[in-house]
Amino acid sequence: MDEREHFRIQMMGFLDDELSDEDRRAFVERCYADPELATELAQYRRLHDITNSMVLREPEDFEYERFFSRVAARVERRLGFVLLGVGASVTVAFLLLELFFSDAKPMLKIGVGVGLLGATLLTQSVVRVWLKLRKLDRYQGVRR
Amino acid sequence: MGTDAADASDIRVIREVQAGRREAFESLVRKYMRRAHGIAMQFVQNSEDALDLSQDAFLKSFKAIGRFDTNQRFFPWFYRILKNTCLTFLKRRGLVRRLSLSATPDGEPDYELVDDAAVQPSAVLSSGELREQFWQGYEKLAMKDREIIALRHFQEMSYQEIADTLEIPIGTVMSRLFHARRRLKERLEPHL
Repeated sequence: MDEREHFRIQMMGFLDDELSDEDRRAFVERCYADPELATELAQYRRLHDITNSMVLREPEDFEYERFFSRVAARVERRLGFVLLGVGASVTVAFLLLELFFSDAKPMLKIGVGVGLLGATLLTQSVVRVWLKLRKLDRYQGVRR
Repeated sequence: MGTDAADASDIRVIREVQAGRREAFESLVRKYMRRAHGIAMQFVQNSEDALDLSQDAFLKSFKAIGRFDTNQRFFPWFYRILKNTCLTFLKRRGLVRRLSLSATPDGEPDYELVDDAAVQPSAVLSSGELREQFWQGYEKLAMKDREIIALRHFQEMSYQEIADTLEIPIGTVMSRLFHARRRLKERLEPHL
């Protein structure tokens, strides 16, 4: 980076009041010695003022209140879903154990067993593909 | 409240959430929801989507808060979640394209909106030719340029806060601001 480029970058810190005293002094001295840099400073100062005068439209207070209520409700629901999931898993596991250790007909046991095996194979296949895709380019879905 | 004090209060809240008091998380939502909306707006430029995406980001951060390292600051961590949520949303809708196959010097890919029609100028308060010119120029900037300008001007962050949020050195903050402003200046040249 040449010296002028260095000072042009320092100009940002000058405009945003983020330079140390020493850097600030060096930048001001450079501006006195380099009228082109001083002209650029005037342009960037104008841009800085224009940018500062721009305002983003904020949602109304009631929209934020609705926003807040929704987040709070979803946080609460999440706990409900976790408990529901755990409860369902425990119940299904219990029922399966009951089935396999009961006097139920062998055909029923075989049917449920084969179904379970199929579901396990499908699940592990889906999870494996999902994990593999995650390792690849995270941005492959982006149109280039 | 200073930044350190604000961070300490965030961490106190997070420890409470981690200890099982999920209601404590609500104070973080209240504290950062406006800022989150402002940031999401920079990416999606649509107020309703920005609200939805901020909501999703809060939910994701709540789910992950158990793994949050309390030696870190909350906001930069949340910012990354929010930014990724917005980028994923734009990618799924085919609204962004990557600017080049290689990453930028600071190691992150950059994006621009595919279609200007995706932009809603009504999302900003604009009146007068200069304002309209400004927003038109601003909306055409690449996402990284908009991001750094927004953090500085609309979120009023210091260089140190920007550096922490984007995980880049302060020197890089300054040079990214310079390049972003230079490109914006080119678009507003007649007015400067």
